Amino acid sequence: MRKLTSRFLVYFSILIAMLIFIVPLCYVVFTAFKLPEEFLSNPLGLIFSPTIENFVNSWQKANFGFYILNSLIYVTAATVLSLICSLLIAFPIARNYVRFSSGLYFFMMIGVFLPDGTIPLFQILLKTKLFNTRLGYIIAMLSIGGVALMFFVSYLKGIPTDLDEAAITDGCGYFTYFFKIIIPLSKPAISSMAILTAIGIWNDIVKAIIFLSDEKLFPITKGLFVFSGQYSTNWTELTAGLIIVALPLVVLFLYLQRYIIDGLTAGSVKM
Amino acid sequence: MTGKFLFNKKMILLGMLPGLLLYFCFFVAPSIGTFIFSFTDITQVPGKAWSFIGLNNYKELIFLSNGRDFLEALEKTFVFSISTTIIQTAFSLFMAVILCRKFVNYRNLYRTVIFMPTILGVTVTAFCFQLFFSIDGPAQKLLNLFGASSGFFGDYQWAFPLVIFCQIWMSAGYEMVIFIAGLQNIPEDIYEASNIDGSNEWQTFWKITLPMLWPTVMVNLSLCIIGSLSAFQIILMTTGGTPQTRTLSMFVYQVAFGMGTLDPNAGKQGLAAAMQIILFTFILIITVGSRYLMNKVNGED
Repeated sequence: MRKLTSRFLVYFSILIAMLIFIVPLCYVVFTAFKLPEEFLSNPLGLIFSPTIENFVNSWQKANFGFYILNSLIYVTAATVLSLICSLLIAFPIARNYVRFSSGLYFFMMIGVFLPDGTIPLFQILLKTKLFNTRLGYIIAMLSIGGVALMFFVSYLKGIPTDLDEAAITDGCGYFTYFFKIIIPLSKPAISSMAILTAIGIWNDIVKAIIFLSDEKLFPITKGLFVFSGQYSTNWTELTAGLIIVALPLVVLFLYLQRYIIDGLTAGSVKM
Repeated sequence: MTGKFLFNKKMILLGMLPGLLLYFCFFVAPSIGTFIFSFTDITQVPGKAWSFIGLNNYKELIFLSNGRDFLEALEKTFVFSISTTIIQTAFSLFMAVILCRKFVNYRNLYRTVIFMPTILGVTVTAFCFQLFFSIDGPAQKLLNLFGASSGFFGDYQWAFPLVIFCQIWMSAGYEMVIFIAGLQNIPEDIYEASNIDGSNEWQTFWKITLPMLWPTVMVNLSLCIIGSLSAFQIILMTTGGTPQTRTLSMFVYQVAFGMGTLDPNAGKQGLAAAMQIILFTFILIITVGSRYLMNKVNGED
């Protein structure tokens, strides 16, 4: 009897949690498939004839085709640059190939504890004429060091040193070895961190507002602001836009779930 | 590391150089720059002359006219941070424990649903709740059933709790995933032993699960406190940082970059830097404090 009560409580709690997390998202999905008239006359109605008109309108109005291209450039450039730089620093630290490696590790981790530097970064980018440029925004979105570096160092330590020695005996150069052997061997670790970095960049809006001013340079999230006017919001098209923005990441997440979870937990459980 | 097997040192250093330079120039240097800026009257306007003004920014924040706004934001920061941390940690720990139960079918599906907001990000989350809490949205209809109504994000009393709710909704999944990873590290046989000893689930949780999970709890608590002290994106995107919902980190961005609700000090980046440093001091105290507590607890075991 006691067991039954506790099972009932468990399922009841799960039900409540699912309601809290699913209902707002479902409401977005329902709204996105409703005709504007239907939404205005009965926003909560569950029975309606679904339409994809909102998605077509939304795509055109928000200029998503154009913004997605921007976002892809930012996500690719900032993710690749961050990860390669981090790996090139993490490898010598993991192997103790440089004399000051523990000091260097500390230096690369200290960034996590320093105060937010957005204001001076804004001034630096202004001074170097990188404000409101693609390059400037990519620089602002870089994340070198911190959790990713910690993750890479502990992963690279697991790759046997014998490989290094074999490569050196065969006369293989450092960069050839690094890009041909180490990078392919670290694929799982790289995938985890790549997805996490990419999610952060794809969803960013605040740094885009700070470091960009030209409409043409904005990432995809900017497109969503077309629909909210001063007095009213075009909800059916906005929700369609939300789905357009979120869908790529949701699909990516469902495919690569294990890597994402590994990357997220590695940093905090081992701390 | 034997002397015989070594890569060319110059190549190794050459490889590290770009990352180190980028990290120093665009991460470490700006962080230190925040300290320096807090003693200047630099503004957002490009090319405008600026000078060092000593401790004036700090004095202005604490003693002068807008001191009240600042203290109010400080109070809001603590309320926001403490309530987020307590509710979020309790909720995600509870869900993690439940969703690790063997008899629950589709556990992974439930975990995925709770984790989904982490993937959606702050922009999508904020718009989603703006719709949900809009004037004729589902939340309003629900209130109408009880004969009540509300302006939600525009309401004097409701806005702040709602923003806290959104923050928790957005980040609880991440915390839960870390708890689940911690729970999976606890060896199975300990539970079996306690089952044989006849302890009930409540006792098992307090006597076995929680003590074994304590390091993860401490990590999550400090991550959550630090995260919520510097979280402002959800506030910016839902209310725009109205005085009822303005935490210190929101205030910093309002003053530094004129974001959200307009502030008379907008553009004064020196002043904003001083606020940032005060916020940083709190984060530092809490980080060091929690580390100290963590070591103490670990040491006693």
